[in-house]
Amino acid sequence: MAVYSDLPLEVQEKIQARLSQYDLTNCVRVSHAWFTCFNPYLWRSFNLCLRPKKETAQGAAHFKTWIQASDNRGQLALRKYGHLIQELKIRCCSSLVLFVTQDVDGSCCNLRELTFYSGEATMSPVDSNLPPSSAALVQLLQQNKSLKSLTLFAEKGLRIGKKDVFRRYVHCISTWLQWMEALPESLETLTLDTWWSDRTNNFNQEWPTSFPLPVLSRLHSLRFIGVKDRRLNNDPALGLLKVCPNLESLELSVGWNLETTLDEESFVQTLREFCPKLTALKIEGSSSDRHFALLINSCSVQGWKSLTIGEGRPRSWKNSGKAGFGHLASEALLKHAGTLEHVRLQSCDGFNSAAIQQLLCTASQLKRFHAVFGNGTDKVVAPGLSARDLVQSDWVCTELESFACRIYDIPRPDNALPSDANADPTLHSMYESLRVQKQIYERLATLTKLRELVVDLRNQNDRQFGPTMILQNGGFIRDSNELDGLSSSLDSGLDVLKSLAALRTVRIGGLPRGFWEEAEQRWRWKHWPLVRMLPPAEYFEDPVWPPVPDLHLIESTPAVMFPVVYCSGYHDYDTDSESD
Amino acid sequence: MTVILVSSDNQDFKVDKEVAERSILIKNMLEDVGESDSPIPLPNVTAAVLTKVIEYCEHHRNDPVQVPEETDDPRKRSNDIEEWDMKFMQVDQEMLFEIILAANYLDIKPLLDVGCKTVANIIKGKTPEEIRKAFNIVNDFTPEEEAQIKKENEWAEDR
Repeated sequence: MAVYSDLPLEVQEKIQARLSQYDLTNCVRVSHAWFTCFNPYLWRSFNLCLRPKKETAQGAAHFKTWIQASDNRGQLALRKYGHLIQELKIRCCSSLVLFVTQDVDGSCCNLRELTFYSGEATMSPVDSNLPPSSAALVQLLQQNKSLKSLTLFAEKGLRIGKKDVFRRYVHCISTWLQWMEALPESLETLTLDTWWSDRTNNFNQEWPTSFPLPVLSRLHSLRFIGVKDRRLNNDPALGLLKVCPNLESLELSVGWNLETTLDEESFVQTLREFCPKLTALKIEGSSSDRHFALLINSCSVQGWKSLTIGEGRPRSWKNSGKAGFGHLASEALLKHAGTLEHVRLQSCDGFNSAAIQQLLCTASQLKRFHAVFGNGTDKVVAPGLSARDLVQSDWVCTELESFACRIYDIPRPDNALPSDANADPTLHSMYESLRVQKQIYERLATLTKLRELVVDLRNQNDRQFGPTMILQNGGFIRDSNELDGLSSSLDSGLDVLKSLAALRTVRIGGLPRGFWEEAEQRWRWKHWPLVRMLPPAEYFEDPVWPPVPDLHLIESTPAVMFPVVYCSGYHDYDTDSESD
Repeated sequence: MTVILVSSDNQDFKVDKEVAERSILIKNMLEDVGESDSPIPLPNVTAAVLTKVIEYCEHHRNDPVQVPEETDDPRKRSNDIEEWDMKFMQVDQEMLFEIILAANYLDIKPLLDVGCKTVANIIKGKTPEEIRKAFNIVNDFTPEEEAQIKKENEWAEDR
């Protein structure tokens, strides 16, 4: 007679993972046996992220009444079950204090993951003592010796006068140092939002050139989201880099000002000297060609295995002559072709078609190549590979498993157009179109390990780079700019791809002749039974750099933003909710 | 080619090799044993349960072998179960857990997944009393105990 508690734990987890938190609260009340099985899972993940103005609250309203109840039920429960919590996501400062108890029993000491978003700083001037939120954070870090993952974010800051900014900044340094010192040595990944404005020139405070920090020998991934790079050589970023000898992955967010204020030598020197195992780099932001090149060149002797460049050029720069990722940076990237396994370019159209072709012809270890759109609506460009370049020479990247790249400049078959007396005579013939497409398919077929193939990278709302859509009734929608048209049809040479035994995800798009046609449908079910056609709206995520969870909860306003420890006792709930 | 599987209560089951190999455990055993014809003992599975498991494997004998997906996040997977599988899983809850245990032991991932989905679907949206009815569980909480637990977990009740 098997019952639920007979199931092995990993099987129980499969079931529990499919249940909502609300369902879990019902399961724990079924019987003693079920309580023992379900309660630890229920308490494993404590998520209090909320935005008062948005609907993404989870547990917020209930948490408030629960913690404020007159019988102290909330705090008693936290004391009793705090040790079960392994993932903690907290938004407001006062709540953080609750998880730090003086008792040994039941205190929150088994965290594996902590995500802490600071609340809005109060308007009142801060005093010189350590703000309670920072103290709570420091204490929480000190009592969680098995913490593996820490994510700290500052939310929207305040627009306040210069004087106040200065005082907060002064505060910041000492509190920064306090929590940095408290970082547990078990830490494996650290994600920091260290954005602070460089608009104010008021502070003269210098960071100490050296400060004692624990050696974070397990830290392999360090992500700076929104780093404004002023004084990068002195700030906590460099301080941290010096104590991560086993760092493998580094993410930097850069801004245009980097070039004028960065002590480049120092930064490159630090990376080379202190992070010999660094092999993965992500750069997100906008900067000059020279600066991108500098950062790419900063690697230690090993050579990059993974490079992700997300270029965020604001629209306003288009005509201002600021070039962004370009020739120098491309050269720098290509120098690492021998070691590169993962390359992802988001909106870096400065890495042009010739560069892409060169990469594919020299990077023998390459496993993933993504040339995609960046996030956000400003990014209307994507790097791409022209058909002319593609067919020039053979690719050496036979290890390639994932290929997502726009292929353009394919001559358009004119037979798809209704006969038009005014047709442009320079439009290529169908023969030419099919010939080129066959060549492309043959090139793709050499990638025997391919699992993912995406050559249609239109945004869901953007038909600019798509092919001409030919409708069933003979009408057509002509695209404005591009001569795309890799057709997913047997005529075009699709058949040669049936040999790709590992293929699981495809988006080729192209003219409606193709997978809408019967012959292709039959072909598809016969030769590609396991292949999933990626819908147009689905975006290709970066497997090396997973999106930071709940980043959408952070407003990225240009307002002054502070590191998390600035906030000083912000109360998420009104009036007298500060419980002890 | 056929193989003989022996249940814990000593009943023999003759099945095609292809069907039996839906179980990775049996598949590996057969590879180790080689060409031998000896029956394979399954001491953890009774005849009644083995009958059901074999029925499942027979029906799914031609399914493509699942490659382990990189993102095995059950929350991302859709909750739809095939109609045949749904009927297949309409058993009493004891048998349901036995099937899951057998699928786990025999390493038949699709059957294990279907079983877990089924249990989850039974639990979803039910009050504790309804869950007890569905799984024939006796309530061994006093009303005070149950109320206490409810208080302790109120924070999680946000739907």
